[in-house]
Amino acid sequence: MRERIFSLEVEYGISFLSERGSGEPTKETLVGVLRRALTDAVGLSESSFITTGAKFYHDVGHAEWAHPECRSAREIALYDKAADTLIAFLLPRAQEFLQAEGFRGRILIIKNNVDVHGNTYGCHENYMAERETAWLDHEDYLRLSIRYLVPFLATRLILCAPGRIGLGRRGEQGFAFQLGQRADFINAVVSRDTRDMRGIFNLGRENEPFSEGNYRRLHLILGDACMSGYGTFLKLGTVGLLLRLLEDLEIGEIPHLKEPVRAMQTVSRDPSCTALLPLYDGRQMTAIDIQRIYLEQVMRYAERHPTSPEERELILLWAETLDALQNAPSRLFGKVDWITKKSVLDRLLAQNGLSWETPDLERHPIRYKLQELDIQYHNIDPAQSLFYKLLRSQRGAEALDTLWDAESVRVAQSAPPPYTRARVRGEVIASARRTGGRVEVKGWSEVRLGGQRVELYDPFTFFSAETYTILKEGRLTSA
Amino acid sequence: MTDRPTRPDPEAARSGSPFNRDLLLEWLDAIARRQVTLTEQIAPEELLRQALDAPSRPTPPVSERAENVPPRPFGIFSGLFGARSAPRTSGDAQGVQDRDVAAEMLSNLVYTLQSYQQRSPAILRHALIGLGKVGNAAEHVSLIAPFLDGRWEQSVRLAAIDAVSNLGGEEAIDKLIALLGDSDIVVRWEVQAALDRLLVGTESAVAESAPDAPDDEPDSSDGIPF
Repeated sequence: MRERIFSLEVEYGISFLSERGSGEPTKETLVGVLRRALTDAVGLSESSFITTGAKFYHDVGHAEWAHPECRSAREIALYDKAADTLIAFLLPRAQEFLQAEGFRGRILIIKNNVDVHGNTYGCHENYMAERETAWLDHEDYLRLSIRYLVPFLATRLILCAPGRIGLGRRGEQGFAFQLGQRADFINAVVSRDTRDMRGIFNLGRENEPFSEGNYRRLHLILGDACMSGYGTFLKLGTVGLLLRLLEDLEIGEIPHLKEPVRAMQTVSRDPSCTALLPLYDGRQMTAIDIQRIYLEQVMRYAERHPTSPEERELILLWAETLDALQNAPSRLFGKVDWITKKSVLDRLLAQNGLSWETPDLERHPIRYKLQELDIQYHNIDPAQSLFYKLLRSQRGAEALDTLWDAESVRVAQSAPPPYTRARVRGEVIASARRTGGRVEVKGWSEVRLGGQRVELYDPFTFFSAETYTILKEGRLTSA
Repeated sequence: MTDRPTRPDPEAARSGSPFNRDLLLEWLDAIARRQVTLTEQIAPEELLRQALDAPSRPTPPVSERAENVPPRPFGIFSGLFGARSAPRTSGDAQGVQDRDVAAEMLSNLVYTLQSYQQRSPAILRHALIGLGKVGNAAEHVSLIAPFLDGRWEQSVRLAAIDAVSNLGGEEAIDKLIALLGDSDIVVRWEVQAALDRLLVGTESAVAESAPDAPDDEPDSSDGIPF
C-alpha cells in the first residue's frame, strides 16, 4: 500500500494571565473566543471545521486541533506548523472578545504535554494502515505490528522529543532534564485506554478508520508535540516508512526489549543516548543502535521498492539525526526540540557555574528561571516563544521553521491539503463563506450542501462530482 | 548490467568510520534513478539498464518530483483573513459565485493532469476518475488520452479508460479501439467492457430514436416492430 493518510490531534494547554481586578474565564470560554476568532477568519458558524478541513474544539479543558487528512508526513508537519501560527495570529482578536465579556488579561497557549499540576494532554498520531494483508488476518497482523513497532516506538524519543524538566509525573522524582514529556505517563505496552493505562501501542481507534475498505486507524498516543517541524516530520515519517515494510511483510529481525515501558523511561532520562537497554535474548543495546536496525531494514526495502522523494528524504534525515546524536548533537539545534532546549538550559546553568549534577539544584533560585524557559519554549506566540527566538537568531527574522518558508506556512493556514477529502470539505466551507450558502460540516466523512448529503468515505478522493454538480447548478441556496 | 549501488552502512559511525553523507546521497540518487518510471511493470534490473543506457530518456530530477505540489494558488481560499463571511446574497448573484467555485474546482483538476510530472500515480488516478465524471468529451478526452499509453502504470491506465468511457464520443471510442491489441490483458478486458458500454449505449439510443410502429399493424410475436 503506498497511499496513506496521516493526521494529528494536538491538545494545547491554554490559560489566562488576568490583570488585577479581572475575573478568570473558564477553559471553555477561552476556547470559545478562540473559536469565534477562527470562525471569523476561516470557518463557518455552527461548525467546528475550517477551510483547511481541520477541526478546532474544546476537549476536557484543552483546545484540541484535529488536523485535516494529509497524504504525507511532510504535509501534516506543515499543517501542524500552520495551525500553531494561525492560532497565534488570532490571539489578539480572541482577546478582544474576552475583553468585551469583561475579562482583562492575556491568553497563553502552550504546545506541550504536561502542566505544572502533573496533568498530561496529548499529541495523538493517526495513520491509515491496512487492516489485513494477503497472508494474515486482522488479529495476527495486529500482533505482528505490535511486536515489530514497540521497540521502535519506545526509542523514537531520541529523534523528536521536546524535552522537559522534572522526573516523574509531577517532577517528584528529581529535578533533572529528560527527553520526553509523556514518557512518565506511559505505563503499558499495549492498551485501549488513553487516561489511566496509556500504552506504547494504543488500540483505541482500531475500528474507527472513518473510511471504507481494508483499513484500520493506527492511533498512537505516546508521542509529544513538537515545536519544530523537523521533529514532527521525522516522528510521523519514520512510522509511515515502517508501516510500508509491515504491509509488504518485508520486516527483518528486530531487538525485542525485555521491558519496553521501563526502556522508554530509561531512554527519556538519558540525554547522552548511551544507556543500555536489556533485550529478551540477554543482549543490551542503546536506543541509537535499535533505531539503526530499523533504518537498515528500511534502506534494504528501499532498494527493492519504489520510494517517493519524501521517503528518500526521510531516510537521509533519519541517518543524519542518528549520526548527529552520536557524534555531534549540536548539529540538531533548531531541529530536534530536546537538543535545542537543553542547549539553552545547559548554557544558563554554565553561566552561573552550575550543572544538572549540582547537588540540591532544585533548591537553587535558578530553578525558577529554568522552569520558565521550559514552558516558554512551547509558547506558540512567535513574539514570546523561546523556540521562535532561537530559530530567528539562527535563521533570520522571518523564520518559522527549518523546513518551510513563511509563505508555505501562510498558504497552509487557509488552504486545505490539495489531494485528500479535506480539500472537498475545505472548498465547501470556503464557498459557503463567499456566498453565504447553506452548508453543514459536522463530520469527517460527509458534508451537506443545500440540504443534500454528500458522502466522503474515501479519504484519498480530493474531488467530489456531487459537490461540483451542486455548485455548478447553483443549488447551494441560502437558508 | 551495472552492479547495484552500494548501500552505505548506517552503523558505520558505531564502528568508528565517519558517517559519509555524500555516499548516502549518492546511494539515494541511484535508487531514485532506478525507480523513475511511469510504470511499475518493468523489473528493477531492466529499469536500471534503461536508466543508465538511455540518458536521453526524459527523467525529471528527483528534486522536482515532489508528490504533493499543490495546484495553482487556491483562489477561493485567498484573502480570507480579516474578511467576515460574505453577506448572504440571493438568487442569481449567489448562483454565479457557486458556479465560479465549481469552475475553479474543474480547472484545478485539469491542472493536476497537465502538471503530471509532479504527481504520483495515485493522485493522477483520482484526478482522471473525477474528470471522467464531470468533464466533457470535446475538451477533455484529448487531455486524458495520453494516460492510456503503456508507459503509465496499470492503475493510471485503467482510470483513464474509465474516464474516457464516461465522457464518450467518437474520439473516446477511437482511442479505446486502439487499445484492443494492448499487451496488458487487464487493460484489454477493461477496454472491452468500456466499449460494450459505449456501443450498447449507442444501440439503445438508436432503438429509442426509431419511430413508433403504427397502431393498425399487427403485433409481431416477439414485439419487434420490423
